Amino acid sequence: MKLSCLQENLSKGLNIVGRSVATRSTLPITQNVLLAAEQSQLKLVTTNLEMATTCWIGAKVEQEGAITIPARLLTDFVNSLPNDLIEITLPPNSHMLEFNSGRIRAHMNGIDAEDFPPTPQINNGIITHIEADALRQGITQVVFAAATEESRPVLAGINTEFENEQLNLVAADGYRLALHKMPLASTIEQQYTVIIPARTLNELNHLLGNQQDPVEITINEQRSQVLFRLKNVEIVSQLIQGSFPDYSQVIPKSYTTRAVVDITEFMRVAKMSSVFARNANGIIRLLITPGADLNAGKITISAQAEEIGDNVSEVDALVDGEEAKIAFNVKYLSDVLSSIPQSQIALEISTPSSPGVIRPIGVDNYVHVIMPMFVQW
Amino acid sequence: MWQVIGQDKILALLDYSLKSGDIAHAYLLLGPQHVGKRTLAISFAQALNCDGQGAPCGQCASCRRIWEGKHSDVISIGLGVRRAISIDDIRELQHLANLPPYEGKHRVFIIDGAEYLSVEAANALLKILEEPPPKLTWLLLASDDQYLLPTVVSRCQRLELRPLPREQMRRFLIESRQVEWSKADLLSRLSQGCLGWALSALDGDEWLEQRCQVVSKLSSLLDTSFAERFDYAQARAAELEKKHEPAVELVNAWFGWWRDLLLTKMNGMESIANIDYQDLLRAQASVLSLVEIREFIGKLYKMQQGLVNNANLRLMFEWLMVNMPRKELLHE
Repeated sequence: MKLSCLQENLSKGLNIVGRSVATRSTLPITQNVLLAAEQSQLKLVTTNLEMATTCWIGAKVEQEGAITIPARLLTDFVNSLPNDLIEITLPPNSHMLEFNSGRIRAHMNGIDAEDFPPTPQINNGIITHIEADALRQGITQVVFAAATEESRPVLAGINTEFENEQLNLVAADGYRLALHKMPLASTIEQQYTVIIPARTLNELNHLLGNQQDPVEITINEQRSQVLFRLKNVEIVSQLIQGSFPDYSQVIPKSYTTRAVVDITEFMRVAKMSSVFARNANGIIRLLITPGADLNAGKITISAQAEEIGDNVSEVDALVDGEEAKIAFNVKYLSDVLSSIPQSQIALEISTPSSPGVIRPIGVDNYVHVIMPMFVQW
Repeated sequence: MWQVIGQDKILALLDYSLKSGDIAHAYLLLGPQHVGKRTLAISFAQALNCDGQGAPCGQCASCRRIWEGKHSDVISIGLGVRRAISIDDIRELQHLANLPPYEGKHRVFIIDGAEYLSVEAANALLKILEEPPPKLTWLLLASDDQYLLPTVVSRCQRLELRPLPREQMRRFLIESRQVEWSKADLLSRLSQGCLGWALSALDGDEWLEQRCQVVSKLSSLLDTSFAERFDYAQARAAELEKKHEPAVELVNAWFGWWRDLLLTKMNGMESIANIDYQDLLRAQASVLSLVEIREFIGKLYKMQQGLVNNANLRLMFEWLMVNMPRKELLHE
């Protein structure tokens, strides 16, 4: 194997694939990155057995070949090189990769490329496309609501529903639920559902920032793996097996009180309350009062921590319906508020013990449900 | 073709399961150390992922990757240098358990030394065993199921590996490993039916020499003075301090010798392990009474218990030496 490429490109490529290097693994080779020189490109591959990332960077290949190198070592080294041409050579029948760049030389001991777990090949199956921006917004708005612990494996994933020309992303962790709907760039015939690990979508989200063209999504026939094809990057992810709970029942069909409020103001007040709430299991209380006569409606937000102190603040709101109250975990409230790009939201509640619903004003593609906390009023 | 020698009953059962596609979500492979649990586990993993004919073929890429420990769907965790298998190991597997196979057809997670699972780890494992994901088989390897949580045991299909009959092992060593008859005979007797043990003893020749030294020494103590016996006790205690495994091995060597004495006394020479010492065994057995032999074996059991309970090694050896019968041997 013999090639040369620019430090900048190699560094960028390693950064992209570095996100799916195994951190702690029973299979040591998954902590390595596979380098394969083919035609006029250098292919970089990493996998943590949950997702595999492949990235191609431009290179001048004189002789094809492949080797795996510890990812950490290679990335740290390449990042510290000046932006210059790097010559990479692997002598035949050797595992010692040689680097030459200007006045710098290095050798790295690698493991045979044959031992690297083969990246799952997904050639046929169900193919569709989606605009990168839409997908990015969708992921941002749901991924934080997925469960982080493993006790219910399906909840650690994002329920992904393809319906003709629409894509629904749903995440829930038992305390909250986020549902985002977006249009597909190319319609598909049938309707089907898969569960994609939240981590995969998180990593995909990081890469979508530089993506202009629509993303190609392919799901294999066994529905066990999904492929996201971006410019010069491919992510293959395992799909979580199992079925997602029926979430439609969780979303309340009606409400008694609806408050439309400015996000920035609401967010600022919620953050302020969290200073006290963090010592009180994160509880903040919301009291929604409709406007009367000349007074505008308002939401009163209070937090109190035993032996520490308390705080009460008010924000103006357009209230529809009766007076109502509800208590939330402040973290769940600020998570959802910070993910909404619109300027206003509607908060819909009925009783202190039924879930609260948050919808952005001006679009109808997002619903967020938060379970209330039970407190003494 | 299975790489496993013996265990015909288990192989027949597994073959049937493979053919009918009726694979249990967890198997508990029980048997003494070196009896072939690991080999069986790897072979079964190969069979579940084999691309060739007559699974496990051992030839296809998948079989070879599994054999070399490179297959990403066959993950094995073991004790290594640690004292227990921790909950973190199980959590890691738990995460992978709910994903489909990465490169193969069926995921196989092997826990080598399931008796060393910490209580938390065993309980975490229990949770996955209760709701088994599809296309995943757990293989728990243990020497004895009494150290496992009964709740874990009850959720696994038990497969008990039997020690290999002496004849069969001797034949295998002679035919497949070109071992000469007398050595093959000795190894088949010493290994107590554990082929893995015999093969590792065969690969390291120094092991057989060491064993000769150990047996010569312990067998020579019957007609020696107490001073010499105490020297022996002191030397062993110094040598084996804080080395649990070798101490257990030494006590097992003692057991082996006195078991042989008992067999010799009872005219069961054909079953003895230390076949290369049969003259000395005969001489010693002739001066010992059956009661003396039996009582001393009882002492060895106490010694073994003492090791488990971390008793003072030197005291135990000295106690053993005092309690060993003293006999004059007739030297020819």
